[in-house]
Amino acid sequence: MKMLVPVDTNPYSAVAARKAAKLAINTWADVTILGIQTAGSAANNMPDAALSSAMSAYCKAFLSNAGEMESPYGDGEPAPWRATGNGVWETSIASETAKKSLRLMVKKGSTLDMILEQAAQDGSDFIVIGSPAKVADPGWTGELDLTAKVANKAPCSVLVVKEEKSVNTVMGILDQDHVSQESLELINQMVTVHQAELKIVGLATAKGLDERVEMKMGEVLDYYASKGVKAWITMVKENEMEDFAARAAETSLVGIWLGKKSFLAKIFSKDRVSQLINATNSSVLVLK
Amino acid sequence: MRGKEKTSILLLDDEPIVSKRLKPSLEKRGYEVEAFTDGFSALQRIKERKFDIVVTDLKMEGIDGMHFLTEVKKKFPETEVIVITGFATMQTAKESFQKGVFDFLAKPFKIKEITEVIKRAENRQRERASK
Amino acid sequence: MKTALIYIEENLASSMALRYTSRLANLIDLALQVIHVEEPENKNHFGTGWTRRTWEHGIEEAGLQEVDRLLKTERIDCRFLGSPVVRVGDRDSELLSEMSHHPYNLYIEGRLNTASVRDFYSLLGSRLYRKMTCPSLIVKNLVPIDRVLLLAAEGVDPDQLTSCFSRLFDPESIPVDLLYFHFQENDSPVWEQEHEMADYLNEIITPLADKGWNIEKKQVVRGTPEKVADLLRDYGLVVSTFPTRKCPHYELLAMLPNPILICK
Repeated sequence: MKMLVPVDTNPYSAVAARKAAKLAINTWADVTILGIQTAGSAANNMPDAALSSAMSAYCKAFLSNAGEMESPYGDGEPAPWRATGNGVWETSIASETAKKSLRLMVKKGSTLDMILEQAAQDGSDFIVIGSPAKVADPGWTGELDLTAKVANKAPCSVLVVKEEKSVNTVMGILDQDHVSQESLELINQMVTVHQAELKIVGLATAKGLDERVEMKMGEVLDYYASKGVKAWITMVKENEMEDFAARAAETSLVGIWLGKKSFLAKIFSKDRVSQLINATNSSVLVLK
Repeated sequence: MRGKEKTSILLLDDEPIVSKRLKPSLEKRGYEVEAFTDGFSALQRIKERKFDIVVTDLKMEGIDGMHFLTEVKKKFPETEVIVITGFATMQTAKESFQKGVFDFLAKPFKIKEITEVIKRAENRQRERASK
Repeated sequence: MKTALIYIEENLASSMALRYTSRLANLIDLALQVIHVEEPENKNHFGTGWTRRTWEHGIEEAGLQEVDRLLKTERIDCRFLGSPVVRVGDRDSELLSEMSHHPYNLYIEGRLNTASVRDFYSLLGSRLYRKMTCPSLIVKNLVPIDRVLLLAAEGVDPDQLTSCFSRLFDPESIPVDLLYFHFQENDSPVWEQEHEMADYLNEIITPLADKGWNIEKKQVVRGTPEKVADLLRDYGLVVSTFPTRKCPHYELLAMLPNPILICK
């Protein structure tokens, strides 16, 4: 699994980095921690000092989180930054014991564009990104609602991390019939890492649950049953969804399967992802 | 590995979709692939012949992938085993490496990622053969 | 042998009900009668006499095909009393009519668990559930049946609970716990001393013990229906009695995601 962790110097990025480290150490993911430097900031020939220092601190979470076990990323320090392109700097952990790669990268440019570009270049399977408590709150310089935009536009699933909470249920909300194999596998990993229960939530309109959604829920249930994962089924009506998601977020990791025909757009009227992120005060997993 | 012969890969995953996706892609890259969805048949097969590389899931119905990889390494220590799993934990990764696996990949992953790992495993075998 | 009438449609709820019933059949010597009702009110029907009979026959055929498709897909390992029955008419009336002609020991149907208690209230408030004389099993989720909970609360008749439960299950066929639920408006659930409800609990424990049952855990909890429902998720089956009025016990039954056996 390849994981991309976009960061800045705000506290929510530290939270996201810790979450990403926990997931990465369990899944032995190859990780890229990506810092974005806006065009006007810092010197031209080196990454911004504050960003670089924050990234080194985030990096430590990946090296120390393994407890008594050996970290898959080894036990070294990041090597000095080196320029690998115009406005691009990279470093990685120089460790002979490393079994997986932990790369730190700083790119200059538009935050959203750089994140999407890096995800495409790496072939990332998963993005973990921190978010202010409300998506419109200050943060992620230069981009309003950045996390929601990343979640909407990224080619892979995105975990928007808001605050550290214990998760006892992983919840996947389904309102359309597109569920990729990758998203099923990612849910598996989330359930395993958090030792959580799985809840599959079908979103119903006033007319009831769409036949295709219901059929897909059955397939998803079968998939997890075959894997020995206990999955609960719940149906929620669209007018109850926001409240339901907000309540569920107290102890659950709320995930939504985003498909082209998703009518979450109607429920979370302005923008489905930012509305869901706003409706919950914990992390949101956007499944692609 | 034997001269110019194709590198042989045994693929074991109880999810047919995994083999369906991986097998043709690896064959296109010139590998000789035998895919299995049940561990007992795969176990039987490794009693009959040696594979250069084994790619196995860990959690499967009927047979434990960890047991399968142990059997492979016992019979053919030079076979490189790559573990793929949908239920990764620090413990399973550690145990896999203790049993001598070449790499450990958590699902989901892209075909490019596993083919890169397979190439590295091939290279290691070549290096070993040339010594 | 116990007989059960299982209502199915071609949907996820029925699929779960069939699979759950198949698991239940490992615990209870069960023979199933599958039934499906096509409600003409939902179709654009027309005509009288021969025209109407032909039209109804067409609906019945379509219903039979629906049932066959589901049974073929699920291929459950159960004993059946006969071929599936398909009726055309009002669902509640047809099911009650079937039950009045054949006294089943149990009625089973699948209902997807919902976030709204109103759905459950309208199900239990329906004519079918009010008039039905046998116990009913509502399968809200597909879970392993490895432990059963007898759920007691204010308004639950111990005699009804024990006699219904022991009529269906053989002694020691499955581990059984007993919980008395008290309503509390807020906060986390609080476990209370068992002896505070000793007299009531003994009205359940003693007759079951006489029939060879050993209740493993006996507990008393005070909490909101939502929080208590969450605590009980690990049970493969929750057994209680039919709630006759809206009360916290009714709300708890509505909020439980588990399959529920409602005794009558």
